[in-house]
Amino acid sequence: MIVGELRKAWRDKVFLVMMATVLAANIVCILYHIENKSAYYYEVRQQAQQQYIETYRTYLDEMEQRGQELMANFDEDTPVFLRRNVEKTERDYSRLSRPWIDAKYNVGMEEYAQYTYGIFFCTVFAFVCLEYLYLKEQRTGRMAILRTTRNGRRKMLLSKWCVLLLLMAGFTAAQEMMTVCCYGVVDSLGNLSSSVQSLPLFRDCPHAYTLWQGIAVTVLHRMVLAMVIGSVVFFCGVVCDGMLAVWITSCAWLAAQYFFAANLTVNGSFDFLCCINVFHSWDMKNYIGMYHNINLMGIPVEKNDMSLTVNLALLFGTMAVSTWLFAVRYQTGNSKRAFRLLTWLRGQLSYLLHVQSLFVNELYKLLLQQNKWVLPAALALVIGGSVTAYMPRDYGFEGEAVYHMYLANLKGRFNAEKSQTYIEQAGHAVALLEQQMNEANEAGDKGLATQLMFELWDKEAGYQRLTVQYEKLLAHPEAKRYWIDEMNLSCVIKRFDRDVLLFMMSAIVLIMLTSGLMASDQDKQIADLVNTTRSGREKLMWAKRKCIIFLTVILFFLAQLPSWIGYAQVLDLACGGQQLNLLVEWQIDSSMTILQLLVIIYTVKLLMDTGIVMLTALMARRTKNEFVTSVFMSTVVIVAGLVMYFCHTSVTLLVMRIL
Amino acid sequence: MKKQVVKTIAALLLAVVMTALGSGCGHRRDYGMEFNLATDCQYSYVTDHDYWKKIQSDGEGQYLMQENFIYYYNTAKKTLVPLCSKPNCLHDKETDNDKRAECNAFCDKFNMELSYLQYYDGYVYYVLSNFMRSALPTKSCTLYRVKKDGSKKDAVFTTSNEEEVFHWLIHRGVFYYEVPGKQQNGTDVYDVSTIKAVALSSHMSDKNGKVIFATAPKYAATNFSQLLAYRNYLCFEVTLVEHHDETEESPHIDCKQYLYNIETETMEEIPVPEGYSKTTLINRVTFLKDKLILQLFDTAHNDDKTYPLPLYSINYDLTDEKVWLDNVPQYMWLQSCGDYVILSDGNLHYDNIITEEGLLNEVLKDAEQPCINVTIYSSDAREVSAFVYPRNESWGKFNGFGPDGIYVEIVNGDDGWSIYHFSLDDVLNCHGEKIKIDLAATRSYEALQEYED
Repeated sequence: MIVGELRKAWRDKVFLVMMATVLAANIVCILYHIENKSAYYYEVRQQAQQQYIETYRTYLDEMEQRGQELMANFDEDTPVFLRRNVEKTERDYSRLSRPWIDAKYNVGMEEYAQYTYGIFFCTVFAFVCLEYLYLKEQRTGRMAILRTTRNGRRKMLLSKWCVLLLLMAGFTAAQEMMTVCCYGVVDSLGNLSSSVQSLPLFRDCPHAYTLWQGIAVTVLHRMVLAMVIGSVVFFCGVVCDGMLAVWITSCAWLAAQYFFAANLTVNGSFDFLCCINVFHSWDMKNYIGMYHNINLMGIPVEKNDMSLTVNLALLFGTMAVSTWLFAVRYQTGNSKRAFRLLTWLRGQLSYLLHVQSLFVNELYKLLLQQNKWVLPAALALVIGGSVTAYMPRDYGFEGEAVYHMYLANLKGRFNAEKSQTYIEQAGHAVALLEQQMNEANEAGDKGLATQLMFELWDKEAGYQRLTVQYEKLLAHPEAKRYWIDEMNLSCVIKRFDRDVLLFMMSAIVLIMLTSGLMASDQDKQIADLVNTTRSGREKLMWAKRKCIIFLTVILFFLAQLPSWIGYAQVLDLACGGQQLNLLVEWQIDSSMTILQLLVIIYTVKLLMDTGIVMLTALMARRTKNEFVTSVFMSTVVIVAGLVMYFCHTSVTLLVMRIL
Repeated sequence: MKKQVVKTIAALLLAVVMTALGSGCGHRRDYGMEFNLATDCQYSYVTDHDYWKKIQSDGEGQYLMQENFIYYYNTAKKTLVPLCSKPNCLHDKETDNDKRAECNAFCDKFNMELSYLQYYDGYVYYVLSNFMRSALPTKSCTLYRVKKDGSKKDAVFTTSNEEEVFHWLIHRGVFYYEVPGKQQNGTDVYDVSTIKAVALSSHMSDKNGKVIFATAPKYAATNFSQLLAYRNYLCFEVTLVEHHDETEESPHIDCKQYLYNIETETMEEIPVPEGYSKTTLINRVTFLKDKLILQLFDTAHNDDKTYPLPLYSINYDLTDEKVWLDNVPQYMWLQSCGDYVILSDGNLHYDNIITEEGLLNEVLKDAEQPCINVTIYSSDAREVSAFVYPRNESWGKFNGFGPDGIYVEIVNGDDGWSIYHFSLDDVLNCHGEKIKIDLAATRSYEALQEYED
């Protein structure tokens, strides 16, 4: 059966194309991350390597001394684990008698160790495998027939599991080999016979590995992790009903893993959760280069051993539970309360829903029948929570509150005479404050002097900022000039984290809605039936396209609403006519107005959304598979979003930079 | 029917378990009416800059904040080690920034002077600003804790982006923190500072933060100091500078001491004893078992450091106010430790000077006389002992005893730094003689390098 399943996968051309695409995406990601480093960088790193070599021996030799220092400080109340941990650490490191440290800085190996995006591609591949090994057969009804058989159900599922594990392991091995080769070609992997401790990154490694052994061990470990990810995704696929449920449960598990990896450390109280985490463990820096023992009822257990044990238990556990569930459940599907509620709701709305318009029917089908109303609802919650993020701050940093106060008095059209008078008054107030502070100092009134000093710092900073803006406005008498609270404006523009989050969320919702519209009929082979009609095909396609346009526009407006509210709070409509070259916060040499800039930014955003929707629709029609389309396109968007987030940028900031 | 009953019972059980878990099983910890070293603010470590406390005691030793590391000094064994239980960690000798961050003893201070620590219930807590750690402009701060054996380090609570924590303390299960802020009202900006309280738990959130005190939005500047707690009371000082305009010569500055009852959640201003002019204010408050000791300060005699004023005692319900000790120079330093009140004259040896940059600085008045006279009084204001503390430039002023009666002084040298200590018992029978302070432990700087990012 295993061979049969493998053959089936091998013969599925779309599956092979998907696998190749994911592998190619990994290479693109590697190439994106490769940076051109200057000669100075290599020189500095080479010097650091020399220093490292000199200190490494001391590091090892003093291990015992440090252990003894700690032991001397322990008393009867000290947990037994700490003593055992010190002893185990000394024992583990004593195995390292003479590691061969390469004198040359190994840039390729370091880059490879720091590349961790492979796990995302493995995750995508796990979804692809789930689709082609299980969901596709379930959707077409083949699985239902097989499930009616008396014997062989367990065997069938187990064979699918085995194929999934083989595919995941094979894919990971291929992906890792490609990654190693990429870095080897671009940066050189140096002398692979030297000890893994040659890299300062792996200084804490207690194993006597050479570099190539280090790579091999990491690849093997990643293969296991990939199999675990595949198992969990497959488990969700077998246990849950409906694509949305599969998608949500798998993503919830992955998101929880990612959250723990980002927020927990091995030094913290939840070191166990951190160490068994797939994202944490995937990182070669953590796997090879970090030494940590977990407290297992007083016994120190190496984190990698613990991670392997727990993940293998998870793998076999999911395998056993889902096989049992598959064998005992004749038919999946939930026709209980939720179904009855939906039926009742449809009954109540029957009059309204009895419409001729294909457009309304498509929307109904998408949002209610496919239960995808959940997605816009979730997006609405995120949007609601984002409104406050774009609100201008009352008080930010030193002098900002004072600056806001000045601008509250001045805001609107710039009047040179009025502004000059105001600035002179403000300057006078600052000078007076300084004088009062000096007098308090001379009188020896330390308390008053300190208080006045803090107030003066605030006022001076705000005043200086105001003066700079005034001078810039004064220097351009030919332009239409406005007093704008630039600090607040800048605050709205710089919210790249929210921009990225909203972009990602809205794009994913759009992708899932679009793929649902364009591929679900094809998926269920209803499209073939529709295509046989004489005049309905075009109308149906038009209705679908109208739905997509409608949803794109609605979701775009919804997603941009928080930032629009933010801009409305900061800018009056008239102030939008301010030229960009009059702004102090942004050194832009352009006579374009703020309003024009905002129009460009939001047009680019709308075009991006349109592009994503068009690509999704195209892919859905080509693959004829809603699941694959939504997973693939969502991954692309997530990777793009993460890149933007980690580069601290957003579409708004990119446009500003271009200008 | 049977199924329904089972389901109902299961749901009820689940609800009970969830409620019990949510409310911490419904048991409120009984902290008692006496000082509890594990869970109470160690108010006896009141230094000249009381919010820069660098030393905390766990009864067996002291936790010290030195540069960017926390060390543990075991009083009995006289050992000094970084608060990290990993033998494979180089601690303060580490030169790699990433690896240094993995050391449990490392506290990544960017603003080195405003950080201090507190020992609480088996953990050492400290607060760090996230300003330099975040890509977004933020004023938020994070409360970290390190297990007393140095085995774990966790971030337990982060304030919201607008909340910068200045002074803070943990007392009897609650994290109290001061948040300075500004409020714009029309064309003016006012300082509005608040003290918030959040229960210490595994799921702390600033949304659960309760404002226990906020200054009115009418002051140009506000400032909290001397945040202390004892039993069910939290005490703090608020300095308020009135909003002033160009017509006024100098703004009016007010200084008030408040007492907050944690149990009844009531706040009261500690009144200045009757019979004093408006220029007299309460400069310092300390706890002496069942009463408060108040030290007065007359701003009209600001220059006269020896201007005599009495120390007052008052009950916690702010009744029975009476002179506790008369004729105490107003610049004398007041501390208390258990049943004793300690007065030291360190401040009298200094002069305030204005530097070229216009900042106030303290300089030693008489370099020939570098000693500090310390007098210990019993709770009934009887002089128990007096000794001379041999201060010098690097030792600083007398810092006060810890709740375990141990005095610790950190001295920075050229090659390393040292710990000197003596105990309260050693000086209880002195008759004004100069005491000898023992060198307890040293730690060399070796590879300790300045923090670079």
